[in-house]
Amino acid sequence: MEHRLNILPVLLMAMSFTACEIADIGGMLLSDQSVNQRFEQSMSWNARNPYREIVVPSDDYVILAMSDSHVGGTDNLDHFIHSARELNASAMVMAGDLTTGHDKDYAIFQQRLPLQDSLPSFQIAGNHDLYFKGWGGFYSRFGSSTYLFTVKTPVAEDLFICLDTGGGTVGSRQLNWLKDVLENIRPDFRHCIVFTHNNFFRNRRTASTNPPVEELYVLVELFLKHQVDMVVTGHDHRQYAEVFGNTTYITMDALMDGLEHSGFFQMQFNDGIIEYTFLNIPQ
Amino acid sequence: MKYILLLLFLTGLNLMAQPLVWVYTDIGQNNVSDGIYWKAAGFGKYQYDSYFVETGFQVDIKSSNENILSGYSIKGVRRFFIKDFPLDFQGFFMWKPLSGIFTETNWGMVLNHKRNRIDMNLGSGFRTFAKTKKAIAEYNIDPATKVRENWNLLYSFGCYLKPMVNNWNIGLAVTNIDHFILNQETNPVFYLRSLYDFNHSGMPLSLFVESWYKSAGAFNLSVNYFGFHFRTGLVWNID
Repeated sequence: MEHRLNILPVLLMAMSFTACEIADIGGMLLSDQSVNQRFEQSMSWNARNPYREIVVPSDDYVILAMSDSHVGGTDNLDHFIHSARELNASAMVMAGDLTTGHDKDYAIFQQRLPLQDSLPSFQIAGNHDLYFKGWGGFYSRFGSSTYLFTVKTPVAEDLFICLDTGGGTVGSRQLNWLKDVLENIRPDFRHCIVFTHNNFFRNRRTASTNPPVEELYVLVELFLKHQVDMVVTGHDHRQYAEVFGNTTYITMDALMDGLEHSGFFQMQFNDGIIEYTFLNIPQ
Repeated sequence: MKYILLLLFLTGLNLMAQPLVWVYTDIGQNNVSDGIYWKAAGFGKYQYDSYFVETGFQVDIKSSNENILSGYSIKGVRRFFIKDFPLDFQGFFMWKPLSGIFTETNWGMVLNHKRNRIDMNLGSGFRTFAKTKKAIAEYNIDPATKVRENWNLLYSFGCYLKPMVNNWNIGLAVTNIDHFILNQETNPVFYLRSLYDFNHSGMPLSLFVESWYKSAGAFNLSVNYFGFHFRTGLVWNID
């Protein structure tokens, strides 16, 4: 009886999370899809849909990025898209936790997006997008979560790599793909930016998970060796910038409605220099 | 005269001290190991009264790390009691040459309590990633850029089938601490440990075997397999 009483609060907490559709507690023990399975599906999608190339008329262009919109609410998402139009962004990158994983939220999220021809957008899955078997909803709407896109200016081409770390790890197959991209494709480009959901370093004490340290060792070394300019992540909900080697590691604020600190991230590419700004959303 | 006194003091220390040596080897695989890896480690521990120091190193026999020496650690411990509650207060330092281009250092403090069937650790660690001179020269890097993670929570909780004094035992533990790996607190590792002590048959040796399982993303509620390793080792109580 005593043991039953001890586990009761845990069970009640788990049931309340699940009941209010915030979190998929079962994911702590078992995932619907492994990172390797998602990677294989992403590669299959990539085989049918070639990487996109964005051509811009000058060497001065803007990329806007956000993460952790956790739709349901769309006020901040609308603000972000409006800002992208106002800043004449060449593309938007949406680095995971875009929804709660529920299909109705994927539908709401997709409805808000501008047409790809008018403002290209790139989505990456985060852990919340995978809850409640959410990968199916992501894949059916956005396709791959591991891919490249490029921006071609009159003087150079820049490479953007999107990685799936929704499961807390890049996984063995995605890592091999990344190594291949950095060794064989990266040298043909001027700048290289990596987008993914999970932030790399533990800047503050939260319950959110970073990649295991053995994985950090390998990724940080790869990014250092291959002159990756910037790694842009979310997940921790609080902005942070850290420089290691020639790589700047960015953690973006969450875009989620109702937070004290919500915001997004602007990258300005200008004559071979990357400048960045954290943009806050006034509450 | 003072040298004779010093010699007598050191001899006295040696007579009362308890030296211990242990070695182990790890064979495992994980998402980033590029196949099977094989490591080995050796430690020496010197205990005097309620103090001890422990130092050890790790070598990579087969791994993707280009360095053979892959870790060094040193630990100082003071044992004390709160009533009949034994506690070991540890201060540690660990250095890891991760590759030719960057290194990791960790230092911190851990409080350990062992009693009957329970083995617990709780502490805090400070991690720094820094670049080697080779990397700074080769990649034209600003040497001032380091990454620090402060106040990482360190923990382990192990529960054993038999009391600690038994000559054999099996236990299950959850931790983010290993001899040469300190994970962030949100990446727990599970291991099953079995050990057999030959002391009762006159040999000052004990043998241990461990199976470690590591996942990623459990605290993100999106868990994935990360890796495993098997460890086996021998402890030799020289005393």
